[in-house]
Amino acid sequence: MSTSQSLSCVQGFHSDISLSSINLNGKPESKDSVSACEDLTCSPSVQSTPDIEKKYVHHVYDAIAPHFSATRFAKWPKVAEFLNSLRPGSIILDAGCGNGKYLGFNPNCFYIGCDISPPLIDICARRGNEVMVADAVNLPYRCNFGDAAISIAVLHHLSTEMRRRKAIKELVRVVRKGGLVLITVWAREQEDKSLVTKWTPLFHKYDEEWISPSSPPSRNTSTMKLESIPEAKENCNQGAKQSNHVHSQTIDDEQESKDGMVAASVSRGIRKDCLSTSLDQTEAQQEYFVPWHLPYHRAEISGASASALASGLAKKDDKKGAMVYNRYYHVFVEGELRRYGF
Amino acid sequence: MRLLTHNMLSCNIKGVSNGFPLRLEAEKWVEKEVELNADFLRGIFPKIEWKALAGAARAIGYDALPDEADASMLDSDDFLSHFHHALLELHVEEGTLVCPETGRRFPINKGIPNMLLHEDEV
Repeated sequence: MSTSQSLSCVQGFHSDISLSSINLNGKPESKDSVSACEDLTCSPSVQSTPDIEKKYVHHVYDAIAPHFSATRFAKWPKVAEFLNSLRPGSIILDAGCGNGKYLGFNPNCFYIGCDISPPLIDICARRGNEVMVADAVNLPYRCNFGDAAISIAVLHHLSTEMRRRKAIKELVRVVRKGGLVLITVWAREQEDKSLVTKWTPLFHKYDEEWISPSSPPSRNTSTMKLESIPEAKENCNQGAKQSNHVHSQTIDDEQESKDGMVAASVSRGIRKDCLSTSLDQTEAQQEYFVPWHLPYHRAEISGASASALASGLAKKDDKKGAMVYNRYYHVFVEGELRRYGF
Repeated sequence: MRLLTHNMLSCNIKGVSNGFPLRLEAEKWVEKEVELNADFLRGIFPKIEWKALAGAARAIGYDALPDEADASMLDSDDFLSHFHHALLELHVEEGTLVCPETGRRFPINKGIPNMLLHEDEV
């Protein structure tokens, strides 16, 4: 593992992949507290799950788990390359492992996965993987145990910068000095520019209830504004205790099978009082709902469809024969993950 | 849940500083044989908190591990065999992990620990 002190950053402007690697300066290990809690990013509330994530990440994945898992099979080359580069016998921690796509990928290593979704973890466990239900923002692991950690398409589901920073901090904390961390997230910049038009931009502060089309607004929304770029201070050395490479990679749209994320135009008129997107706001926009189409026959099996409809978490699309769920995403812009780096 | 995993798990409730190791109450466990890899065992040995491993193994009724261990024992086939068995071949299917500081109980069902905290614990 390189111990170079230079900050090397390779950022291609390929719209589908942008890669940056950061060398972290080492600090002596602290064996005191398993929960390193000495700075701004560790206030109690950062570990509490915001409503938007409960509704538009947790519940959605619980509802779509088998279908989602069926469409998660392609291994992204950069992730495969990373996993294959690890020394045999490495302990690899997969935080937000989903259906366990990468667990056991390099058979010479030992994998421990966790995810917030019990149904997805069940799927992992049935395949013989070592997994648990846990929160990537607060990993129940002691420090320095892993040789590597991966966070594949996870951080973009965290709705505040503090939570995203905390999750990264956790990845660094749980690997040993000199260990490696790989993070991949969805990019704002897409090769296929039309993709963005299929996402619903979010303009409201996230502690508001997301109101379904049919119900009247319960709050005065005339003062809603764009969530501003967070003001958390960047401090490259704060809390860093290991020499790590943090590879960040932003990837274009997930490869999904045809009956998964069907390209469809999403109605912008979900809320009658919703501001419409204006062109100059599009560039700054990073918060989106991205639809997931769950075919009716799959929805019947999961049994969650009735309550999802009732609570407004999903709609029916009879034309497509599918329930439509929205997933919350904070898509990353060029350089953002580096900005989070320690 | 293998004991290798148990050796890493720690209670992450806000304010807890002695959340490791979690006490294991095993109600149901199975043994699944897997090929011994001495290099792997020698590589992972330095990470292992031995008392936690031995304690967890005892909780499942496996008493073959010594109370203490050092790297010189890795030359012994017997030691490797017991280490391997405890670390990788014992699977807790049903049980509970208990925080030594707070007493908080984390369930294990179908081999899967649930380590999620409640709102008031974060």
